[in-house]
Amino acid sequence: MSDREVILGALGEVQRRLRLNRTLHESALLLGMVAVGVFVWRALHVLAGRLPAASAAVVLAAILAWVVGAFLLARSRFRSGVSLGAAAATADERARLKDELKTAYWFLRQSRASPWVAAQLARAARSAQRLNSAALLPVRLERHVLVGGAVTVSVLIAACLLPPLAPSSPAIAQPASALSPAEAQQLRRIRELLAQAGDPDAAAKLETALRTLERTDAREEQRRRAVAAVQEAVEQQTLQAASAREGLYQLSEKVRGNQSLEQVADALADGDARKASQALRRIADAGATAGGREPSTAQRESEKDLEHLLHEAGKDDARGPEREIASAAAKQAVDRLDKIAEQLDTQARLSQAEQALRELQLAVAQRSQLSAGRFGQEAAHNSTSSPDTGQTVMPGGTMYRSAAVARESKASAQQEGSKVGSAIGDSEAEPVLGNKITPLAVQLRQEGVAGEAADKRAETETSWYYTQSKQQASVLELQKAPARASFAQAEASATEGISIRHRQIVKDYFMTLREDAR
Amino acid sequence: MSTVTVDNQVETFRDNFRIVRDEVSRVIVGNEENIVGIMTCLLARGHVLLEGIPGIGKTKLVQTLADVLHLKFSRIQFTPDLMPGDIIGTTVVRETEAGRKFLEFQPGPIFANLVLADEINRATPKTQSALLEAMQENSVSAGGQTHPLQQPFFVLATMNPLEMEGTYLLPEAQLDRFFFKLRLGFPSAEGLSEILDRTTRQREPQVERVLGQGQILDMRETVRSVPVARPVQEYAIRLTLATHPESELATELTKRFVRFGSSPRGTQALILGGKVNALVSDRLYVASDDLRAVARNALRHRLLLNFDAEAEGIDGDAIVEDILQRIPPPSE
Repeated sequence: MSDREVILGALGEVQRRLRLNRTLHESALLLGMVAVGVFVWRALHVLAGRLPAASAAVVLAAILAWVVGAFLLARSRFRSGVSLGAAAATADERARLKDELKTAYWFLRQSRASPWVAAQLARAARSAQRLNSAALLPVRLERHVLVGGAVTVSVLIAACLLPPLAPSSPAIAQPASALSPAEAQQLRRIRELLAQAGDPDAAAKLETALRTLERTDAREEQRRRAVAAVQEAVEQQTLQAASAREGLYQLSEKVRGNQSLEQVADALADGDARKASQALRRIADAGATAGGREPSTAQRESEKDLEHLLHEAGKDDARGPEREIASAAAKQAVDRLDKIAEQLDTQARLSQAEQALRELQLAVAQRSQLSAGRFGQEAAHNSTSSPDTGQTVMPGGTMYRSAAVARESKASAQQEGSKVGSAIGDSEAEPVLGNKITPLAVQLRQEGVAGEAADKRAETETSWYYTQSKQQASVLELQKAPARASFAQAEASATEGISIRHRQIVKDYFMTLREDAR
Repeated sequence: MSTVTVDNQVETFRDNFRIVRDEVSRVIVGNEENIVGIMTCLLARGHVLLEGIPGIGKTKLVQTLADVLHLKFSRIQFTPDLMPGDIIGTTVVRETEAGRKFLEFQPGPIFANLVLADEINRATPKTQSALLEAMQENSVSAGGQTHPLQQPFFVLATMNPLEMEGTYLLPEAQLDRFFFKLRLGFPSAEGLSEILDRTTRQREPQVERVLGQGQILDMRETVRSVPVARPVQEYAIRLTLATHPESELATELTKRFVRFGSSPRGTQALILGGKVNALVSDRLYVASDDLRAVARNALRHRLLLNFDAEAEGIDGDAIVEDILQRIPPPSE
């Protein structure tokens, strides 16, 4: 074997081991880059809720660029082969041959023939024969590559094992997952209720909220806003229904003296307009059988309100034309009562739908893994709870309650700590947070007693001159019922869920109601 | 010539080199690097400039070398009133027995194999330049005739860097003609003790003449025979170019402090010095390490530094060291 063959053979062996090592090294590097990519992906998955939606595309593009860059880098590094010159340089460096093989390889390529070159090649061949490639170039990963790989894998494992981060602030919204079959069924039920409800405005708001809940990319904050809008609409309906029931109750008191309208009065007192309508329809049917003539247009125009109609319909001693008028009035009253019943039904359905919507929203919030942390925060006790005046955050929503609701209904003024000036008897001070609450039914019942209110008002006007006795105290409680302004204010502060901007509407409504009653 | 002959030639070279070095070391304490440097210059057909403070053995080193080598030695003490003719010789009128007068060239002390130009910076530039032709051309022109110098011709000049009053700095052109510039440092405590032991007794150590003129010339031929691979040669070129501030290879230090870089003689000195170093290291080729080993001695006096370098205390060694660190050797 010539010196040339010996040198080239040794360099070929070194070259092969260098390639093997480089392949190993590049593979480790590529795996490391892939691991970093996976780590970034995992981190983005964990932090998904914290990133604004607009940055998602940028992040995706960055990851794509990372993958492409890693591929191109790996390809270029794999393609860059190891030359025999590089192998000679490595062998010289590892074996401390002071450029012997490198120079010999250069002489071999130049084919310069001289005794000195030949002598140098002979020496280089001897050195090449002594080379132990396995010892010089063991196939192994370098230490820094191993350390880097270990760190990367450790971080990757830790990142995979870590639970998703919960947002620290409720303002940070998180996308929710799709609805489950049970939730979808509840959604259909709400839609059915909406279809039956007569209020298109509230129905539209409910439909918007439902669509928001159905959206998988909707944030929790968006859902809350949608549900709040629905609550507002339903509260409006509830207020209207409450006023309707109140009117029915007043009506029942007014028609209670009529023997023929006793059943109607009972139904009205119960707030059941449909039952009252059926009772009245029976009365009208009886009248129609007796007379059988439709009321004239002029007569219809003269019928001003339901009370008048009921009174007309309740006349037992009507004969002839009067009987016909009573029958027509009864029919008009029935129509009015049907409409009221329909309104009450609408409110009931909307309330049901709103309640179902709340449950649905709560279920989605509870089921959502991403919002678990936030839900946990909401489910926790309010550390600054204020049972008298505050609002308590509860799972699925906020419970509003005012001081008046929390007070005992029979508590004395001393117990309440709101009675000032009783000892000298000059006047009764107002409670701190408004008047004591008397249920609406009691107040309406008092109104319903004909002539009683006017008598009591006269007594009240003079009673404050004297120190009140025990008997007068009970009278004073009754006197608060006609004080409509303070009553409306107390009602507004005590009623759950009446927003601030609607309180004036409620107050105005009751003020108007009082004037009508006069 | 076979490979065996080459090996024998290299072996002989190494033996002779080692013998001279060991023999000189019998008198000169320490300074082994400078002994090797002087030998390298001698074998690479160059001349050497020795710089060092007074009394550290510059002249003694040269005298010892002359004693070891069986060569004609002459010493010229440079003084301000020294004339060129005092160095190269002069033409005198001679008269024959018949009474006929004729002009005859009387060779100066430069006509020797080993010339010690002691304290060369004390002579005027005119006198210093008298050495130029002799050092470069190995010949002397006088009286319209050119007189070749006997080979080997080797000039060793010494220079004192401290006493600058009344001295004339060597012009750059003359500095460039010196193959190496060697710096002799102050000996260590052990070295001083050894110097005292050797020089304060009744008999100072004596050296023998171990190498003759023919052997030196053979060694010179051997040096020239050493092959240099192209990548190593390119490395020498890169090192030289890096000393030029306008070059792309120039380092930051070069750009800041060098006014003009090394001449091609510097590259030649790198290669030839590398060849000697390779042979001394029992190698038949020049490695990049050989160039690095001789780079300081070969380049330090060939760099023309600017005022900033002088102000900041930057010398040629610092520049060359920076270049060696920043210019990588050939990778393949």
